[in-house]
Amino acid sequence: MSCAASENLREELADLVMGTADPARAEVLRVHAAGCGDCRAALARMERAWNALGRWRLEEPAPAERLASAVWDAAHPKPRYFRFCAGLAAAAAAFYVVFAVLPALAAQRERERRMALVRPSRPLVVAGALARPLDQGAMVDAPDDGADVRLPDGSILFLAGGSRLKAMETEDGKRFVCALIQGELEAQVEPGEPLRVYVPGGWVETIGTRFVVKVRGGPETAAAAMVATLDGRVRLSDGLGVCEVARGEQRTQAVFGRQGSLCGRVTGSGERPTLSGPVMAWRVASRELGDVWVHWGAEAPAAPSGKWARIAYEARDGLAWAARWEALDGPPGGRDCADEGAVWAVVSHARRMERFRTLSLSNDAEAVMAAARELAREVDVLAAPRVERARARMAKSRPDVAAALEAVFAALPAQRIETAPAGAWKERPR
Amino acid sequence: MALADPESDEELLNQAAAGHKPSFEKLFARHQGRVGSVLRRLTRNASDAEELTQETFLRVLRGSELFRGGKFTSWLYRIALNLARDLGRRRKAVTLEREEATPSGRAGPSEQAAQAEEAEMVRRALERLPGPQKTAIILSRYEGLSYEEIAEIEECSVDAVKQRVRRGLMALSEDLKGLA
Repeated sequence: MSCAASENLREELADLVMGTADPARAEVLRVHAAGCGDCRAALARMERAWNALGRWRLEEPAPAERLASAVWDAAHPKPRYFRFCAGLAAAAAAFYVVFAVLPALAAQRERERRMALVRPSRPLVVAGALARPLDQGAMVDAPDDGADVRLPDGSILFLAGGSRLKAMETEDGKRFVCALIQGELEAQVEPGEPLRVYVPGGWVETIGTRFVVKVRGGPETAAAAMVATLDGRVRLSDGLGVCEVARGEQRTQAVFGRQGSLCGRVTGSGERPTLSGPVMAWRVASRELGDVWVHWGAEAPAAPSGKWARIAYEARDGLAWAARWEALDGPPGGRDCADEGAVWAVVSHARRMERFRTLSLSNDAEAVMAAARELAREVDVLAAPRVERARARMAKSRPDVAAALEAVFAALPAQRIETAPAGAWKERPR
Repeated sequence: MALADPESDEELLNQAAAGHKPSFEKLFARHQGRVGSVLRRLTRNASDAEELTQETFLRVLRGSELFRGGKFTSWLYRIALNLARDLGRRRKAVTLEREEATPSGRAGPSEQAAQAEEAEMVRRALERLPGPQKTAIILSRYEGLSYEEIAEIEECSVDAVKQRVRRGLMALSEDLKGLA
């Protein structure tokens, strides 16, 4: 008999290995295997395999109590609690729909109805139930619930509560021009002639689009204007150059005030724009904290051409607060800064304190003069050892900048603060 | 008339189904280890096994009315095996995370490495077996269940179980020839 070919015998050998063979049969198998090389080898292999199975051990399982509780909790949820929460959420949603969404929709419908019915020949101010024609040069102070300004072409300006708008004469006899002095304005503009809205430091204009422009800060203080487009494209200017803001984009521009103040530019993308004009200053980086690059050139007193200062500032409540400054070489070219006094006063202050001291960047010439006078009174502080060391370091690492700054410091007390050249501000509302 | 053993699996199941949490915890503690062990060997993945163990007992709780007498453990294992098969079908094409070997604590580092390697060879050889043979071997060799118990769990004849175990061992012996 050939044992190698006997499947039944192998199965019996397996029983023998597993201990399930009948005892009498097991003895017969052992005797046979002792005398049969094939079966002996097969038996040995199966015994090795059976024993090898025992080498696969498992780690201790997780504690039963924790798992048991988890299973029990899963099988017994708390339906009342969840039902209560779901009911509460549904009630809140219904309340919101009834008291917030529906009135808003009704107001919107009413607004659209009025727009469709009224096509005034002159801009109309609608505040509450009252409507009055808007004369050129008139000021609109929106009440707490806001006001609408409807234009002859069907465009409408939604003024937020507390906003102030000044109507201006139309340019070229067609375009409506206004100045947003403070607050927020959303414009829904019909296709046609551009609407131009002046803001401190620049203007925004568009054709057939919807945008929001917001002025932060008052007209006599440093202000930032934020522009956001909801649809279409707008063009905006900061008095130095013009750029476009596409749909969904947001820019903040015209950082510092009005005539006679330092003018700034802000880009939302962080890219440095190409500028030309009397003042070259703009902000990069984040919306609330950024850098202002200020250039002063050959026309500045005793300052060589091509020097730049970077002022990192923080904008809070529409006011810019200088935090620190750094003088360095900037891009070549550029022209004089019209408000160098303001900048230098801040620069000097920051340098004098030798730390990140916040100091208001005022656009008020008197305030700047006061700062300059204060600086002049504290010349002895400039001579303090700490400041001297700092100046020595600067003189060593950046002799050119240090020399320029020293010249500025020396000239400051006698420096006369000049307002911007008239041509630089011709587009600004007065 | 004989009274039911208050600590029997079936009685604990009845009490748990009636909302008695301690009875369920006792039942869970009694069988969780063995069910978990079978599932870990079948799935080769500790987290899957733990999840399936919980799912098994969850189904026990939710489907206690489906238990129609007989041996509780057979019903329990049947649920667990079905869950493991379902998971296997779902993850057929997915390489499961291997459970690391657990060498004997007394062995030295080199011995531990050798043991871990052998354990891995065993696991791989078992993995190559047809499903019914693998299940029969695991239940028989590791859980110590009799052919009759396995037959009840698998709902097949005792001879079929015996044949599966025999064939499985023969295949393993060929596969593990190289093992010292």
